[in-house]
Amino acid sequence: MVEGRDIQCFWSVFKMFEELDDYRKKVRDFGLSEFTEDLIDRYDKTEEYPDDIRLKALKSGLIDMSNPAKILISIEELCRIDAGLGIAATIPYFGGEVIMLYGNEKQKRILNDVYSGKYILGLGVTEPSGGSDVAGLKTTAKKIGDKYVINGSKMFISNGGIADYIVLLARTSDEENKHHGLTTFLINTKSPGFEANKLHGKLGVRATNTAELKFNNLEVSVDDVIGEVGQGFYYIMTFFNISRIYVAAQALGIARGALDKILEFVKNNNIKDEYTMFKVSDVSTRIEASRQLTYNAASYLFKFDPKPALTSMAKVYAGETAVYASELAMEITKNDHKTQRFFRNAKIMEIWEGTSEIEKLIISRQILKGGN
Amino acid sequence: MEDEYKLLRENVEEFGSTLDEKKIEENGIDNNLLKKLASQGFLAALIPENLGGSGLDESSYNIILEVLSKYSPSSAFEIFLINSIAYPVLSDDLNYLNDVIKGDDFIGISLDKTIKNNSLDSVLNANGKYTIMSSDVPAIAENENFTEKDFMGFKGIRFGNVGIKNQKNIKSNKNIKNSIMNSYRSLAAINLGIISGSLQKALEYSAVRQAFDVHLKDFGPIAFNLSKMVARENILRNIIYSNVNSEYVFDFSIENALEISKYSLNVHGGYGYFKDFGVEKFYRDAMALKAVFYGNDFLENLSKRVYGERSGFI
Ligand SMILES: Cc1cc2nc3c(=O)[nH]c(=O)nc-3n(C[C@H](O)[C@H](O)[C@H](O)COP(=O)(O)OP(=O)(O)OC[C@H]3O[C@@H](n4cnc5c(N)ncnc54)[C@H](O)[C@@H]3O)c2cc1C
Repeated sequence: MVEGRDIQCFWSVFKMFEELDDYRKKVRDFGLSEFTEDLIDRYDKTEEYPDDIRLKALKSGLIDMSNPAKILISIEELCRIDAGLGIAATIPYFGGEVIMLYGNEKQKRILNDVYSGKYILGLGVTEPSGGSDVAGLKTTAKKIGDKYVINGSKMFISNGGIADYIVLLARTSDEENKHHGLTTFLINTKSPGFEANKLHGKLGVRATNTAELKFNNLEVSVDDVIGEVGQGFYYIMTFFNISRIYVAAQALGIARGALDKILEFVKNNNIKDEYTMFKVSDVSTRIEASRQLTYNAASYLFKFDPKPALTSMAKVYAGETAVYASELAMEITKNDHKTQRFFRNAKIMEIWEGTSEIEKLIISRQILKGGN
Repeated sequence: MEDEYKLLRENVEEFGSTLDEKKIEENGIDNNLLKKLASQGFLAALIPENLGGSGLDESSYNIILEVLSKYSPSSAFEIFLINSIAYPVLSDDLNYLNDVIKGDDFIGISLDKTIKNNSLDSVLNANGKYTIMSSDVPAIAENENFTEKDFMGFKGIRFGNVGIKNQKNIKSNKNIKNSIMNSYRSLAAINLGIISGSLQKALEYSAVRQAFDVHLKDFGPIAFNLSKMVARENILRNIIYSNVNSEYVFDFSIENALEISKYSLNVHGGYGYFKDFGVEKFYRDAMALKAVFYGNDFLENLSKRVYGERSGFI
């Protein structure tokens, strides 16, 4: 039992989502008209980034960062049609909350330019040697005069090859407590010493850009530190408490899209047997549970009081549901071409922004501590 | 006999380890590889020696499928399509297979009964000269052209829409559906290869990769899950080469292949999501195999086996 549940808040958020039904329809209509089968297929095959889709989604008012409920709806509905394009359209702002919460004026101006579509942002935490153990990262930022000199590398960075700026987590001191020696920076990717190598051959979400980043004596000024020196680990954990709800929304969208494929197939082929009907019930129930977990976690986020256990529960469960639903859709539709994409896209939900194992550790630790 | 099986296993292991699976996944099975598979006698494994085949028994054949799947599920699946599907249907008309078993041609297998505008929508080995149709009455047609489509699994096999001509019925007491029903043990052998291939990667990776300053294998959930999976891998191997009913064996293999290949991908973290690490393909292949061969048709067969009469159709 999670302590301190605020039922009032939970219901008001559900109501808020309900009241955004027209907005939801607007997003879905956008996705249905813009994400043509041709386009989905092309970007899935070429692994190019669909910049025109990013700009269209922005111009159509689907990226309103001042309203997180709308963002969750945009993510969910676009991923319901195709997670490759859906995430490509909604991920250029990735890491923005770190600046929003802790950045200085100059950084916030850059963030405004990200939100207006001028720039693309990325978040560099994971390294070749590990992503789960955030505090174990090895990239260093050494202070020399009024500058920091950054050396090291980052792995699997979304938008890495197309971003104008990267929110970077690096080690600024070798404190005994590894968590205390980390600092966040805002890096301009045009800076000398920055290198991005695009990674090819992802199983899914192939319209998103993923890169390995290298920093070779890259210099930044002290003004490029986000927030306080030594607080980076905690900033990133706070950020994950927000972004993991976005991932839950991506997963919810994929699961619903897979269910759409199942229902279409069942109806078109007049399938009525009880075995299939039970599967339909099962996946629908799990989707509903994922939705409730996601909106529940979101309800605390909207009060600026995210609950790590509830957030992780939403991400794990929705991620597992996306995988379950897409596997089932493959089974029922017999390897249908469009369904395959849901299957390939779903698996990343259990890996990025904390693998399911890491989420489970967070949940159990929080519960053992007696709450959130 | 046990010694012969052991020797065969070692030989196939040796051959399998030389395959360039990345290239196979990228460019498909080419004539060069097909020739190699033919020269090993794999393409005609089940065809009697007096008819130009290798005349192997079922266990030897399944050993080939199992061991090759570990390295290249596509190559094993190609062998399966020829021996387990094409050969039973064409056994009275082996001329169609002459070039195929020599490694000079592919034989198309249609997965869908529908013929629209003289074309078949879902054909495995769409690049062959002929396609065996999925009709109840066994039939074959000449391929005119094909448009490639994505099959998701077994990437080495060309899949697509095939334009056909000169369709004709063939004298045979087997169609594609009956052939599949007789091949569950061999499909289970492919699943076992998928399980072994993915598990081996996960075991190796978890022994060298560190997180939080310890090897992944030292975390309880990883060690316990992988060990339980190794146990299931061994049980599956034992029942494949026993007289346990083939439907039971296939059913046991299906969920395990999907779950184990998925978990093996997971153990690789972000790397698992990329082709380069050679583990995600097992998950795709396990899913494709399940999507095509496992469903209500199979489950009705299984239930018939259990009840001795038709059941589970409501
Ligand atoms: C397409 C893609 C995009 C990504 N985008 C970004 C991005 O934009 N920014 C970014 O910083 N990162 C990004 N990532 C990285 C992602 O967040 C990491 O891959 C993930 O956190 C796991 O880290 P890892 O890959 O190093 O796996 P590892 O940390 O090496 O973990 C390997 C396995 O061990 C398990 N494990 C680890 N510790 C434990 C434990 N204590 N107990 C039990 N099991 C454990 C993990 O769950 C996993 O299964 C992306 C990854 C991908 C694939």
